[in-house]
Amino acid sequence: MTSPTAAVPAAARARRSAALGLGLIASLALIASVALRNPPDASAQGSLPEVDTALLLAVDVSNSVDDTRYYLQIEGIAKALEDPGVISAITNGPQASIMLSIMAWSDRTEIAMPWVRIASAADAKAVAARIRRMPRINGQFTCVSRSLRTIADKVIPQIPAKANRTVVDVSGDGREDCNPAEPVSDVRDELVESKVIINGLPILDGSEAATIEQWYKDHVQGGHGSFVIAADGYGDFERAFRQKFIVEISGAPLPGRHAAVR
Amino acid sequence: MARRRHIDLTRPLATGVRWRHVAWCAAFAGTLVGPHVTLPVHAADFTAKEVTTAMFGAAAGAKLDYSGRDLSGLDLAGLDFKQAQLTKANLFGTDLAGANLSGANLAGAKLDRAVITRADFTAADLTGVTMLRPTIYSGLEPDQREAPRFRGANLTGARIMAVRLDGADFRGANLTGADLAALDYPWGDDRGSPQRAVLLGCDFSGATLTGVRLRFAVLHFARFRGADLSGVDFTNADLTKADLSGANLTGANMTGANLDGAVLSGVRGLETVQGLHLARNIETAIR
Repeated sequence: MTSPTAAVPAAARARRSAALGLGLIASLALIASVALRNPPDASAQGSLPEVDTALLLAVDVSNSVDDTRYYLQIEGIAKALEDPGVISAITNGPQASIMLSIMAWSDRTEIAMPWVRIASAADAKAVAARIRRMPRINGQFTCVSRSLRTIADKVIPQIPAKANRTVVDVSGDGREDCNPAEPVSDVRDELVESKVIINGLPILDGSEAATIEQWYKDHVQGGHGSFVIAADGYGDFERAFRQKFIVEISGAPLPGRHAAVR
Repeated sequence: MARRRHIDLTRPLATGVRWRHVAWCAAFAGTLVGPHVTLPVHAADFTAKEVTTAMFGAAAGAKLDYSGRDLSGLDLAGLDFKQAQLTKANLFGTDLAGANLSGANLAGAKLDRAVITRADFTAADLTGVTMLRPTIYSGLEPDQREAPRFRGANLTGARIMAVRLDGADFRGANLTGADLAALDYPWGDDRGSPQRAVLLGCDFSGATLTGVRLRFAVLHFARFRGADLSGVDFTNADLTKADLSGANLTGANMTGANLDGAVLSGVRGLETVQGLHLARNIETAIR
């Protein structure tokens, strides 16, 4: 049996010492908080495959995304995976492979496609076919902060590979409207601290078309070499996504106004 | 870096926070240090990320030990607990939707207000757990496909109160001495009646329910085929069209129970059942 709390007795001692004074309490609490968070000794990480990029596609399924818009996004992702340029970018990296997962996000999150490894054109096409078969997922509100929190706490820690780069790709047509417990940028910064790159694909459509790109740049985009590429409406999603996909996988810098280093 | 959650009292409060406590604390703190204060409201021993990372990284059979730890309020939905030790763990309000807790040891754990939609407790040790008002379904209308699974679990002495568990699978489980009786409030609920456990279509086939309290429970279409129901308190329970075929009812109490269309064929110990003459609609039961 493995204990994730290698020094639990330290925590217990810290509690019992409460009467000894604030300084002592603070010291023990600090020691305990570090000790309590020690990772378990037993690890299954050694057997994980190495890939160039772990790419999570976070797709907006909030209320503003009707069936037509949803399938435009899904078809755009599937077509990008079938694109020779994308396949070339995947197979020409040092490890010649990537991990890909798709998460639907709104007021709740759902893994629409768990992590899959793509190491060949055949893999890419099979994944594209799988993406087209994914069941429609519906949501209500645009909870960016909560979704990033799920990504930080649940999705990234469970990537079944050693990835040289971890990229989260957030697409959507609206800003946060969930009155979040944590500001979006706080969760974004936490992800960036753990070396995650967050790129944005705002879809310029509807009432927020004029402002959503800048909001994504200010609140969502983060990490070394991160960028925002806007789609000029849902009809432009496929083009924008393919362009973004190639840059994300290849790791090449994106020229022009999109590039940013945080 | 460990993350601590704070509520910024200068911003609107999110739902789900202990409003009353925060309001009192805010009022008190505001008198001391002004309006720009942040107060810790989350006392769990770990963050969701720490638990997820540890569980994911654990080798098969490692069985991480969170016994007695506070995991309350964490979002652990969908996590594979890999038969972890969670004895006496505090899982109050924890989101365990879709989590794999099969084979886990949760003896004495607190699962009050936990979200257990689609959670898998198959063969888990749930001895003595408390499960007050857990969230089972994601929508207002119960979808039985979202019911948690307790097949082969040990629920001896568990207290499962004020719960709606339509369609849950308890086949082969051991519920000896468990309490699923209605919550009795002195003032009743908003309808002036006790809050009943609603267990429509639950499957208790082959389960051991010796001495279980099911007073006022709603058990329409529930299946108890071959179950050991000796000493079960069915007082005022609604067993409409429930299937008790082949069950052992020795010493059970059926006072006021509704047996409309219930299947009693092959039942053992029927002659020892208390209050059977006071059961309702016994004439429509199928023997």
